[in-house]
Amino acid sequence: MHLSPGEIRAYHDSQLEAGAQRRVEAHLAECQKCQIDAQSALDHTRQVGERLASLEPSISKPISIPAARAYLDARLQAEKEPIPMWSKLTSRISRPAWVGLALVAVLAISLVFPPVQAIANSFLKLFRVEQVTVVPVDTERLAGEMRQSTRLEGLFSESVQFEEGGEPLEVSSVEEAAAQTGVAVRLPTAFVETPKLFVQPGGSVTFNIDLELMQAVLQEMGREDIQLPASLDGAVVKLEVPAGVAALYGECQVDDNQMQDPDGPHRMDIPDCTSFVQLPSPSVDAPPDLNVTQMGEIYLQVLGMTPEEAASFASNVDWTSTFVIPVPRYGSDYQEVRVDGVNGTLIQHFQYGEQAYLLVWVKDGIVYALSGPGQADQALQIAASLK
Amino acid sequence: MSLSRRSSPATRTAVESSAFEALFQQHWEKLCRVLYSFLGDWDEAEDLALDTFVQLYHRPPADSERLGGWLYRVATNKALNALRARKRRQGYEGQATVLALESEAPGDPEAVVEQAQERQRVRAALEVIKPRSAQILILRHSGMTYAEIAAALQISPASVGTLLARAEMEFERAYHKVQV
Repeated sequence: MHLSPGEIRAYHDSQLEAGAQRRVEAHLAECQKCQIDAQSALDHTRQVGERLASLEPSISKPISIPAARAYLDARLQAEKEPIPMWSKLTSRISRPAWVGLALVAVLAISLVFPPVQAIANSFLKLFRVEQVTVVPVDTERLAGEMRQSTRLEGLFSESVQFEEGGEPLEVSSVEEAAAQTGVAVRLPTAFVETPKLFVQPGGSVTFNIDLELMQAVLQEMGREDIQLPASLDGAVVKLEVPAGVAALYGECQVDDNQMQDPDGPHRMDIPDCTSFVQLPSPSVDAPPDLNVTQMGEIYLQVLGMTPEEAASFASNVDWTSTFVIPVPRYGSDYQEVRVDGVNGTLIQHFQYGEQAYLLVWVKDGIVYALSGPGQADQALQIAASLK
Repeated sequence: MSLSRRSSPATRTAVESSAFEALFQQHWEKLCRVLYSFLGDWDEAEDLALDTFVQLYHRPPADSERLGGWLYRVATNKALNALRARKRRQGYEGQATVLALESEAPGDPEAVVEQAQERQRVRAALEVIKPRSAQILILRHSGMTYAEIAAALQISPASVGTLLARAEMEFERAYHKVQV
């Protein structure tokens, strides 16, 4: 029995227990093959070590501990942990519905500020989500601006009506889920376990735009630079989200009573839950002469872009069919990936201090969202196993 | 070791835990050095190290016995994300910036350029190998014991030798493939 590369490596690093270290040494004294392997491994390790040594700082070092402590204190004093508004909006929603209703919440925010050319109650223009793109957002700044507004919650409670179709309902089979939603349910085969399946009834969000209130909120947020057209006042925009299916793998929360209060302390355990949500594309009814690019520009400015940046970004997006996901500028990373034969968006971020992913794509009129703990390659492997 | 925070919102920003203080004193410099190995930029390394401590303060992990390991896991994850974001954002110009940032030591200009290219190549190799392989290589190179690495990456101490050996093979293959 020869030594494994791992044993040899640990032996060279003197990281074996004393007894094991002696046993390896004795074996090496007698086994010529292992002697050759050990020498080769040692050469290899030294070569890698030399290459890595090039990364070491030469003459400089980080700021001193007292200076760093002062910076840390300043940062801790300056910032209260930001709670994104959409977390608040979705805080009362149980986990299976999170992705679908996060769509609602984010779109809700985007649609609070549409410069509609105002024909109230006319729903002739239909938008349907066909693709997804990402806009980086300084969430801390945005949350700070939102906190300055005392009337923001009023804006939501007075202008926005949520009609939820009810609580998620656990179903016993794919066939039952398909029958209740009309979705040809697909599941990843990468998991050996059988998922818990939930049907999330559809819902709708209606916005009755009160221009005066919106302008007051923007003023409180310090965003007087954003101009809202007067014709927006009184417009009604309706977002409809069809019923969808969530498949949950691992330790997932489905009980409302266990939901985290975003204003309370953060939960301490790390949930090992992977969720796969599929639902027909949400649609938006809006007045027919909606200037969608202008609406997009305002949305992007609210999210923190300068007018120039917003104009440039907005001009490259088809706002009639694209769902623009705001992701935190810091602490997350995103990329376009090929998934399920179409282009999708893969967002990597941290959840409770651990790496997590959200992979979103749209195919044949169905929005798919896969989220869970782990690295990007895990997300892509799971998505590739869809049947 | 455990962390505690004041519960009153008005005073919530003050750190009073001696455990937090001890962790900061113990790990600040080493954490920055590990992050510098990934990033080659002290400002960015210090910024991410501070981010990690802020995160520890606001959202300490459930397992309060292995906070040191948590710090290195979270910080190196942040560094890998930052590297990927930088690569996508800045492309060649970004690499040039890093070359300039690290070329602070005086010396033979040709040697300086050569060293800078070597660093660039090593980092490019670290970016393309598995994140855990990059983490294990850098953490071991920084002088961590197998037990410390195991705690940081949440793996069995007995598997560290094997994973290190594999990571080195993976790194060498990537190093010879990357173009700078």
